[in-house]
Amino acid sequence: MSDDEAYKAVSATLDQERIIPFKTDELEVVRSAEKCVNCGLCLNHCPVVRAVGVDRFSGPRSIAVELSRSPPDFWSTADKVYLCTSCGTCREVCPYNVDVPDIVSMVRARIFKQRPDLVPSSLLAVRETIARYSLAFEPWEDPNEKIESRDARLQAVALPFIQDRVVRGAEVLFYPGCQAEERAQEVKEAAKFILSYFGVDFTLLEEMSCCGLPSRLIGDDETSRSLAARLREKVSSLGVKKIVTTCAGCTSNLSDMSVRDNWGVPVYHLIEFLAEEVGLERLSEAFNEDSRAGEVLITIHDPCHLIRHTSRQIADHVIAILNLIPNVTTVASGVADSCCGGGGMVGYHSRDVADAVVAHNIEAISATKAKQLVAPCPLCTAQIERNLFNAGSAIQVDDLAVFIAQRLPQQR
Amino acid sequence: MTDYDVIVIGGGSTGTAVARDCALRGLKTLLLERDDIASATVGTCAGMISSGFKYYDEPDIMDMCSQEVVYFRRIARHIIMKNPILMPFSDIEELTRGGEARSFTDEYAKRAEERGVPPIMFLSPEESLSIEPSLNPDMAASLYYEEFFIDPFRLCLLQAIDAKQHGATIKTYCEVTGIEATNPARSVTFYNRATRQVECAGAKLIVNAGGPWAGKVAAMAGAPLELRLNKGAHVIMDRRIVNVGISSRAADGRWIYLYPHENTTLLGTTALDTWEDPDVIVASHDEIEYLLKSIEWVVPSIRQARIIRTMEGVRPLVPEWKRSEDKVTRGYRIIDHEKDGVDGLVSFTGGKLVMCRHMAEAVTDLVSKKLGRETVCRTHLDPLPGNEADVDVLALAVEYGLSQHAVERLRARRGTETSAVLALTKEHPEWKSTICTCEPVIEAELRYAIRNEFPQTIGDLRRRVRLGTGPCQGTFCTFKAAAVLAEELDFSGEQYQLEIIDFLAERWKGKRPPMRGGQLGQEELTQGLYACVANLDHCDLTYELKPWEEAA
Amino acid sequence: MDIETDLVVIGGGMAGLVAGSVAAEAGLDVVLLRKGHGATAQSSGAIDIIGYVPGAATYFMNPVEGLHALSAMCPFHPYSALGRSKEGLPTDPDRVVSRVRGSVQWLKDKLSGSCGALKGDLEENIQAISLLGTSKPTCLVQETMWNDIPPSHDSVILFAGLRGLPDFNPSSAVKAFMANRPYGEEGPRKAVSCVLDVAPSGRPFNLSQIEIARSVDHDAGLSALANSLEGQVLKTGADYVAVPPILGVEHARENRRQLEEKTGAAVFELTAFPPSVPGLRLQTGLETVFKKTDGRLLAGHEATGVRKDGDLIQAITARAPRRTMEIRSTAVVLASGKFLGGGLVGDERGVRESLMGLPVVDGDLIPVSDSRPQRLTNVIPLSPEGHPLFGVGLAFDSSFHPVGADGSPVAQNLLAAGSVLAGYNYAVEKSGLGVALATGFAAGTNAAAYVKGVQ
Repeated sequence: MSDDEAYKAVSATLDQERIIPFKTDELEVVRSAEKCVNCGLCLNHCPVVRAVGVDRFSGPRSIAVELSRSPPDFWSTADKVYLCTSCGTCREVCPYNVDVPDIVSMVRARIFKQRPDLVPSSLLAVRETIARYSLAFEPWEDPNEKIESRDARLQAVALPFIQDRVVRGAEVLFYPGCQAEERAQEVKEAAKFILSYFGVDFTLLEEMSCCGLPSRLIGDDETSRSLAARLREKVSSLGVKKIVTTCAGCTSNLSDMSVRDNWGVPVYHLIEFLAEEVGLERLSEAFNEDSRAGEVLITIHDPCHLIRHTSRQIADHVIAILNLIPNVTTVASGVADSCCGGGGMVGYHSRDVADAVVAHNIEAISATKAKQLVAPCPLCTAQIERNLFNAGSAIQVDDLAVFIAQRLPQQR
Repeated sequence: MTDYDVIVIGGGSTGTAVARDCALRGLKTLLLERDDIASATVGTCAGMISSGFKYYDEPDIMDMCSQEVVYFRRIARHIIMKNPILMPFSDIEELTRGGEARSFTDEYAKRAEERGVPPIMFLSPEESLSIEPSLNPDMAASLYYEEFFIDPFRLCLLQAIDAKQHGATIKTYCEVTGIEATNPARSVTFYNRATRQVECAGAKLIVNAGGPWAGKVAAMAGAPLELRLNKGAHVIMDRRIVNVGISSRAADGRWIYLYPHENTTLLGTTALDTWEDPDVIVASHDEIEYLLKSIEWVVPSIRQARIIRTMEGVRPLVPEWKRSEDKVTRGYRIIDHEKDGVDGLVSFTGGKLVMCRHMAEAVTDLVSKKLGRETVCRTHLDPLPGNEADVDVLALAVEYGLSQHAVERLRARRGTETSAVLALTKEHPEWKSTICTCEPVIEAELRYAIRNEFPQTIGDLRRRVRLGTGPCQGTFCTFKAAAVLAEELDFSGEQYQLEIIDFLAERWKGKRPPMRGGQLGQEELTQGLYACVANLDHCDLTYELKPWEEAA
Repeated sequence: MDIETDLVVIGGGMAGLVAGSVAAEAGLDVVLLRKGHGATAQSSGAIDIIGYVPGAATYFMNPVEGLHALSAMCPFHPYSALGRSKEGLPTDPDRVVSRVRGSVQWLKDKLSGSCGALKGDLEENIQAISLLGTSKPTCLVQETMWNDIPPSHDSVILFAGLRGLPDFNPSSAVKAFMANRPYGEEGPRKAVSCVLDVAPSGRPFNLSQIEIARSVDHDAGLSALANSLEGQVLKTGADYVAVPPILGVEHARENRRQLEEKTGAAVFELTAFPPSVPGLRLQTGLETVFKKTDGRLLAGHEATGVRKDGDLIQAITARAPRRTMEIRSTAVVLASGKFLGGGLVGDERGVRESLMGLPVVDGDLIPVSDSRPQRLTNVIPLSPEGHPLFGVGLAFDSSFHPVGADGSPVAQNLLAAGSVLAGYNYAVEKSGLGVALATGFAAGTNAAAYVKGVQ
């Protein structure tokens, strides 16, 4: 038998038996899944189980101890495994920190490869967008319209425009993420303003491209890796020392990739950067220099990708920073760390589930007397804003970057 | 006292195959099993339907095995799995010594096509690693071949059920205590553990498929029968940690393997001659470490994997002595005790899982001849129950509102019978609830199995539906399954509690030897439920020590 | 970002949260690291103090008796250490009882009015009935599990299950309950069972305890349960109703009161198997207590390293999913649990303490770092003796400093509490949360004294 024939025969069997070899980093995920002792504690905390019940979403326990045991069977898990919002609450409460979100990604990656017919079609549509534009949101066709939209949003939030810039050798790369680049442009603008206010030597990317998290969540492992590689090149050619982002998902994903692919560059969410690099003292000075805004009662939402995929300490940073701002009082909703349902790409194909998840938050948020909700992530912001609106609430929802920017002096 | 044409003693792979063949040929058949179907040797093997690859120095055996694989693929299509297997070697010398390599590759190739597998191939290290990245890259090349595997419990049970459906009587928990096989009034006396009665049945002929106990059984009839008893252990790991089978030279030069088996991985096996009571043996530390060390050369990360239990069984080998176990013939022997003056008894020695149908055919031919009946064997043609058609898992999942994975696992066990199980949920939607969350097993399947597959204990249920075989080893399903069993079989409060304790003891038998790593926390949890909360460690019930507990 | 603090507590179960709360109440800045939940969050709703001595067939009528017995028979038991002074004189049983009593009272006070509120005291061990219908001796239970008047010989007890909840089978529970009643003992005249149809999301299968509990916390769910139960109580003439532990997460006590009002029967919850709702209540209650003291809880943080200087621990490395930091602290309490909590790990070679590699011993103070775990088990899985494997842990002195092979503290500023300690087997003794509470209380007190002493 020739080498070619041998290869064909082997491939045929592997296909037939639905065998896809584990990649090296998948083996780590397998090790993590092996730790599950079936205690079910995760079920008591999973926001999707809370929202739709264990029958509709068998829960993280089932993903760890049942659905992920035999790769040839992964195709049959497609009715459950796309409902995970990848919030990581399960992992945080698990006695062994079984990495269910990563297990979900591994299973989805195999379904994508073996049985793309079982991948929700709306996810395949996003994949098309990413394939075409290297962005998770379809970009503006007309650059002028994009600028107009940006300016309108700047006006709405009353922030000044800071020139875009690409500076090789800058200290910091500011990475807005696809959503802030193409949709919630005010977030990108607010961040530029904040960085510029504190004299941070920052640059943007010459051309924005997705960090790859949506691809990963769709199960399109190949694309997620190639996007990561592309970003790595861009980062390396810009020669920056740090990356700052305003998107929670980008924070955790870029942190991952930076380590996995040896970028040698630490990743910060803007909030972390402000707390750790700029410092609470300078922030306090800035806030007190010119308190324009009046009294406001706000409540907070903590994005899962920050508190559970990066560090809970970031929530403490948020509170510490907000406490520095005069006339701002924070009231706890009791659900700040409860998943908003916007993650895991669930909303794309099972909007009812995503909204059922956030219903728990909406109830408690509405019960506070807060006038505004702030969240350091455009995805959470959008999800909560839409659902509060549908629930008839008058609470205004803003990205935390915008909120902070609005309270910095604009005349110096 | 009922009179049968044939009484078959032993409910393993051979016994159930014989019962099936006899029943299909219209012989009035009784099968007596002292415990549960497939509760002994066959339940402790890796389930490989061997092509006979290893027995290239017995070409007739290879022929037979290969042909049997073809038959199995036909009759048990729905419960057969195929595993590609890689056998890395560091030195071509390893394989070519004494012309071995040429022999077995040629012999294998001769019969590969009929089994639907490619001939043996040699893969480069790069190709090997691309198929299985866990392999030690330090290799010259790998052998690649493909073998078929089956769930031995399902096979034996389906053979028994098929026999039953064709008129055979299957009695489990009936231990044979006496055999009269010399004079014309032939009979078998047995103790029925369920009814606690001594009963008797008449037969024209008695087939001894007692496996490791075949010698004892023959002795009851006054016939001599020698066996070479040889024990083998397996280490079972949670989930598939490798995607293909791996074969490796062991520490002492034998060959051992690491096979994916449904949703676990099996590492086996050892081979030690034994004179110990098969009921008391458990895997020893030496055997566990021998297996781990042996596979570690080719899968260096093996010690990171989670071991969930071990199992140990006894091979009833043909009594060829003064040679190592792997040099003993893998063929089987049918001993007609007429030569010993006991003309009503026929015994088996030797044999492997793949041969069980062939063994049954041979002995049933002999039995028919002795009974003066003209019969034709159909066991290689007729499908086992559940194999009649394909099953649309996705459609069934939608129709019954169940998880797709649960239906898929049902299909893998039962084929077309899946619909019968799911139909139960029409009247009892609450039976869609999951009882064993590792597998998963829904309550409807438990009830179905209890009503149709004659289990007496949770352990029997485990064999039928794989309850308690996952990483938690019954921590969370034992009490739920016990309650369902207690309802269906109307247990008393004592029986219900003892049932829980008994299954925990049975699981503990395999959990204890390899106790380490993830199982420590798992066991803390088990103790937490059953001792700390339920206080079953202080219950006042009359607990019968199990044989292995007594022996320790 | 690095943190400086007075005390870092490693572990967020009963022992850790109690130690942290006590120290914070004494005025310390406390940071508590919790990498995941452990045995406490899965506990059944009962707080065991001491039920049996290992190997005993009968239980102690009250924990005081048990503590006295332990002081005499088990010198290496954590309870016994409570009765010893620094000089290491024989254990003073009265001191043991008084310290345990003190910590129990503290806990009851702190949890009073919360979803984890407790009833019971050291004067009596009560029989807590489990989901299986079997009972165990325990000291405190959550209020919704308590019966003011235990079932008398005249009464009828109804075990009410829910259709589609496989965790609880009432007919089997009845059988077990009746089979276990000691001959001649006072108990209900009759035990009966029923199955209620109260599907919270409209489907009667694959219900989980948490879903039901959450639904009962809402009016509609509570009414459905109440109406269903009322009918059955009328039908059976039940005086007592035993339900699985699903009466609510936040409002269980109020829900139970309303059920009793509606049905006219005494309603109580059975003790839970994981995934436990009462465990969730206890965990939530304890965390609330800790947060009220201004203690800082860092969830999702695992202690992965230690920086030591001489005989003092300088700092703990804490790792979050994608960030690492250092916590510099004057004192450390290690309350990291046993195998479930992750404080101890083991492979085929032996058992080790997972953070600092502290020496691990068995109940007789014999080192087990080279003891194959299988050797530390019995051939019978469930027995009054239990497995020595679950009695291994850190050796400690009377102040709950972990000690090395020479008997002296590993570090001046390191204390340990809870199931990471050696010398007791909580599963067979029925002593888990009691030891965690009492040793956590002691460790927290001692840590506070130490920190104040050096400042």
